Amino acid sequence: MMQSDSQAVIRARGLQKRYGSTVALAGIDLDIHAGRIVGLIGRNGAGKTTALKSILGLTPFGGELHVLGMDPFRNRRALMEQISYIADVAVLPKWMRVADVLDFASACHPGFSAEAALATLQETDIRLRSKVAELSKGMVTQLHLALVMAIDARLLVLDEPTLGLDVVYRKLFYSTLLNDYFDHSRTIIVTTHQVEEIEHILTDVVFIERGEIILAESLDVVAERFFEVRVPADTLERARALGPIAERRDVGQHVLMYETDSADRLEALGEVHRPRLADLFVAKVTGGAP
Amino acid sequence: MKPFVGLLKRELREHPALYVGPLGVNLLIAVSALMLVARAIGSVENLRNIVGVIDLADPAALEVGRNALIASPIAFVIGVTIVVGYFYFIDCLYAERKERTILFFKSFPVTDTATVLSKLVCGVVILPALSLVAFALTQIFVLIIVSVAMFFAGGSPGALWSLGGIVSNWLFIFYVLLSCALWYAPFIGFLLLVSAWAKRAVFLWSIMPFIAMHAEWLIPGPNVLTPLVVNHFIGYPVAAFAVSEILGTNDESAFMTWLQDRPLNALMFADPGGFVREPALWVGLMIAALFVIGAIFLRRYRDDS
Repeated sequence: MMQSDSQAVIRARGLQKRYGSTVALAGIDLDIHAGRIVGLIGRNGAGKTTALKSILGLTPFGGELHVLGMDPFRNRRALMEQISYIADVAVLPKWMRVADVLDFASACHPGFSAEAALATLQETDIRLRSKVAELSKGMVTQLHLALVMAIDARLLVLDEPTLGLDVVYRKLFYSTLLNDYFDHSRTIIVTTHQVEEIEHILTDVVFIERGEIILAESLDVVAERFFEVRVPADTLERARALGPIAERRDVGQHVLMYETDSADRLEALGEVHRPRLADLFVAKVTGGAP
Repeated sequence: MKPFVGLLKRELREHPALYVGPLGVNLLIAVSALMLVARAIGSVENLRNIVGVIDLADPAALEVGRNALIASPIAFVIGVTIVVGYFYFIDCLYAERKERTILFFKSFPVTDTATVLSKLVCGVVILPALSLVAFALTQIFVLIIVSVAMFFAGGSPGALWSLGGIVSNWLFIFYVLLSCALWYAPFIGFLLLVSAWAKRAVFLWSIMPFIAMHAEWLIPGPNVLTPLVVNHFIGYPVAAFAVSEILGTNDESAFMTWLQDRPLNALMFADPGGFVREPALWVGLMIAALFVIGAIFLRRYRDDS
């Protein structure tokens, strides 16, 4: 994902953003290609929402950034015609009726199909005359999904789309997105704290910490480069000598994580397995501190 | 055009006071008139007392009666329109930030310029237009019920329906609403800017110029802000109407007294030619444009989310 490519859906070079003396983005380089589902993962305040806002032209930025070949801040209106973006579900106006939401989207987004949205909503209990304020959180999620999926966009951006939802609706959201929307030509960027819930749908992952990208790879590459070894006490010192990037304890056992091209030499140390994305993120963020 | 219509519909849905205000006050006028007439039904004497001011034999009394029936409530309607407009302008760019719905609206391919202009159009064009249409319909309704009452009281309501006077009244109200919107544009622009800028207590920020003027008055030395604002504020009648040419004086109170007595003849005072030649109008419009550009700039560049 990180290789340079002028045809990338998103291409950033030295992307910067400051809020007063606080550095939100410290000159990041990034390429995201068409047909990928990218997880942008970071802690609170790490810079992921600022990165999304820059990509969407919602905030001015320093450095170079092209989204679908356009400067997002200067060409925001033209760019948004090819983007589907709805921030977390809490921003849907509570005073709007469902029919009004569809009417507004239909008037303001040339890629929006009211028929498609209605078809999705017909499979739910949501009534067109209901106000958003009257809907349950699950219904708001379904409305959110109906909007997202009714927009014929090249790039879909989701910022914490399942915040505050229970596990059933979170799973429904992602499974519908993957099964009914993603067609391998669209690109999806999603930020979330619940890494483990989106791990299975991602093709790429970007870890961001303190305004810097600390990992940007496809999950295929991640699977070939990162390994965890459950190490018994008698081989612990040998394992530590091989330079793990992180070490944690799990049910009394030591689990060490390595970044290496081959797992061959690790197999002698204990049981080798691929790390979960959440553990890899913690390992990269904590910088290998045990 | 379709997105702009979508934006206008959004405003009407988000701020129902834009139509509830004008419709509500006119409904109140209509219901009041209806109740007044209904109370007299069954008693010809009462009916004569109520509609008796319209004495067809006396042209002066007829004029007073027609004024009372179809023109007098306009001050009430314009007052409500101004109050609704004031609170609309201070809320229209503030509420979406307060409720974070701005992120939803910014997720569509609509420019900040179009969004802010849609709010301006709603407050300056749609609200007054709704007021005017609602008032015209109310006038017709009142005329109908009073005509029916007069008929049953033995009078002839024909003279009530001098359409020239009614249409002239509508044109006068249209002129007042249009010229007011243009003349007071700097104040409207300021309210939009406050709405885009204030993080909280938007009403307090909107009255800040009055506080600043009071502070200026307290501080020794020449006043700059106060005469600028006050002179423009009270200068409207003289700028928009040929008061001195007709009354021989520029005294606003004399004009208002005349207007109260003969509201249906007020169109003769309208002076659109003199109004557009008034330098203060264009200076005000330029200041208003700067305020609106400021509001657009704030919505575009400020990161409140």
